[in-house]
Amino acid sequence: MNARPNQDAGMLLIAYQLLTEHGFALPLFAASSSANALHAATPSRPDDPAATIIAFDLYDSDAAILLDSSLHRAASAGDDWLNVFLWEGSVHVGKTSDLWLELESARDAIGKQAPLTLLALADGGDRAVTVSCAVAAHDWLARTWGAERADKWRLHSWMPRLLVRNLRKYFEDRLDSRQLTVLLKNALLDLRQPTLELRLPAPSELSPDDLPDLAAAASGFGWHLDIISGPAAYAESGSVLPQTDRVLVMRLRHGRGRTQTQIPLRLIDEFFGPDRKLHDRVSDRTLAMTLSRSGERRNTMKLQLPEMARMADPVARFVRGVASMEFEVYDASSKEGKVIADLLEDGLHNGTTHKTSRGATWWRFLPV
Amino acid sequence: MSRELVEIAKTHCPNVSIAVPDLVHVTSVGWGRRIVSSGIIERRRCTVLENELVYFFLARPAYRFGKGDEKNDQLNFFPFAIILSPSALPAPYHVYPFDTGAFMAGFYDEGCDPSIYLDDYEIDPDVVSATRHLEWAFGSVPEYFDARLKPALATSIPLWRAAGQSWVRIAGLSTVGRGRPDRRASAIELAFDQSIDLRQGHGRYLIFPEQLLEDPHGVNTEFLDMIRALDIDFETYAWRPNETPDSYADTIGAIMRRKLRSAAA
Repeated sequence: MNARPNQDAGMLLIAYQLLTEHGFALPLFAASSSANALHAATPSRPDDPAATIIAFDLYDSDAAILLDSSLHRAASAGDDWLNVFLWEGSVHVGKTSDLWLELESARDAIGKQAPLTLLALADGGDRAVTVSCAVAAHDWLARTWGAERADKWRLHSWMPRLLVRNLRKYFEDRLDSRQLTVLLKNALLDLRQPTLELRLPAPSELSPDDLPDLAAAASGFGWHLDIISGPAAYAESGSVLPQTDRVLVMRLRHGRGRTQTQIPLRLIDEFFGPDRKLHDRVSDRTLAMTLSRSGERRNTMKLQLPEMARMADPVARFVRGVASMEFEVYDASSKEGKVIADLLEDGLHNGTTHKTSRGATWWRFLPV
Repeated sequence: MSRELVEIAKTHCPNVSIAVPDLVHVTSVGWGRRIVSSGIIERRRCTVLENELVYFFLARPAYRFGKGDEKNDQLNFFPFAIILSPSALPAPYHVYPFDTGAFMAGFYDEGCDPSIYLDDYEIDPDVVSATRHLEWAFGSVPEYFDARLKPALATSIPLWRAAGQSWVRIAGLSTVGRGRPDRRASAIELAFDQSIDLRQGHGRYLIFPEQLLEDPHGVNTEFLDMIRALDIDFETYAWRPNETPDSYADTIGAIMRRKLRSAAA
């Protein structure tokens, strides 16, 4: 998809596309009521009822349904999210909070016939109301599809969504996007009645108060939310430890001024990925690798390490954790450096240590 | 015919030790509802290979973008996943170690050797060969699911094996370390030249928006009745209009990852 070039210009909600024939639909926007290109809005935070619109992206569909012009609404980047909601043949448009009020007379019927849709409508409003809608939806699922199915929905669909929403909001200014992605991917909810356990891979000061939607949901079902973080979270649960840690040992080549080294690009692809910030375990500082380009092509990845100037044979260990990249560098003659040098030497015998074409840089991946 | 990637995989992995994983077909909600209601995943005209085929990926919900008969954005905003058991399915028409549609559309030009043709990447058309490729290149289903190639895989392939070297570069486009990984670049594609009848017990489970469980106006009755008749398991996700395509992909990935973990436990 391509973003609309001028995101500051106003747009108009003029159409929608159905998911089902009732409830929320995908709102579609255009530059004017007669425009022939449709756009979908991008939220500031996915699935957050408090999200605003931050952009409009082209949307290619031949299944769009045009709204009556009386329902057209202006929208710009920065505005509150706009919804389209269908019930009993009527189309309603507006902010989530407005729709809740507008549909007051229909709420009982929605709750009886489509309780998951009523829960979606209540989401983002009064938490107590939202939780009561969730309890009703769970009851309906249990009656319709069985208790096991209803419990799965509660623990594997609804609550993880609240968890992701709350974690995203709490950590958005504390973690970069990759760290947040890793955290969200590895966060686990485990029910040990009457405790709902949240397991997080990295140590954290997070408390249930920082996860208000999830805490309210747990309370609504009579559970207590307990947060367990760090490696113990996985050791205790019997769950599979996230397989995100990897270790790389390297013999580094002195570069310009003996304070710079180059990281082979194949290691960037296979190990470092988008990580450019490295935390030095020895000095507790954070360094950044820099990529030089030749036109469109990547040339070299450089790392400035002033202490290398004093080392005759620098070796390093890089550890990719669940939320950070750590490293330590030593001279091979030191006690710590000898351990790394021996690992590299051993790898030469079993073929697991690799060298650049001129043999100046060595590396070996180690099992964790 | 000797196939280079098959030879390389057999050299490093003569015996396949992991079970053949499930197959995944991701489509839009509109098509998914029709497929389940009819009980059949029908073949569609493939403009790349000019044949009528049904496509799956091995064990990974990699999307196809803008290919086939579906509108790109319907799939991205309204995904519906069908997971099948590979047992008792007919032999695949072809197996490739990536999405052929994306290959032909030039999505992998950054990584591939332009002197190597699509056919040179083909794997033997059977699920065991597909699984051997997975085991050789990734080591396990969870690693493959997350597109984590074995470390230093390229260095284990002789330089004169040009197709093998080129494939590793293409597959590198899918690795989690990249800014915007393209999961299709190392998703093992299986195509069948026969429609797949879900009523024959091939269906393992479905993933679709929870709103499809509701039926206030009777339009979902056929769909829901068929789910009961098929006795197929399903997982739902909460579709919301203020979600993003990436979030839907993450959600479906999370559901399948949980299924993998519980199957392994």
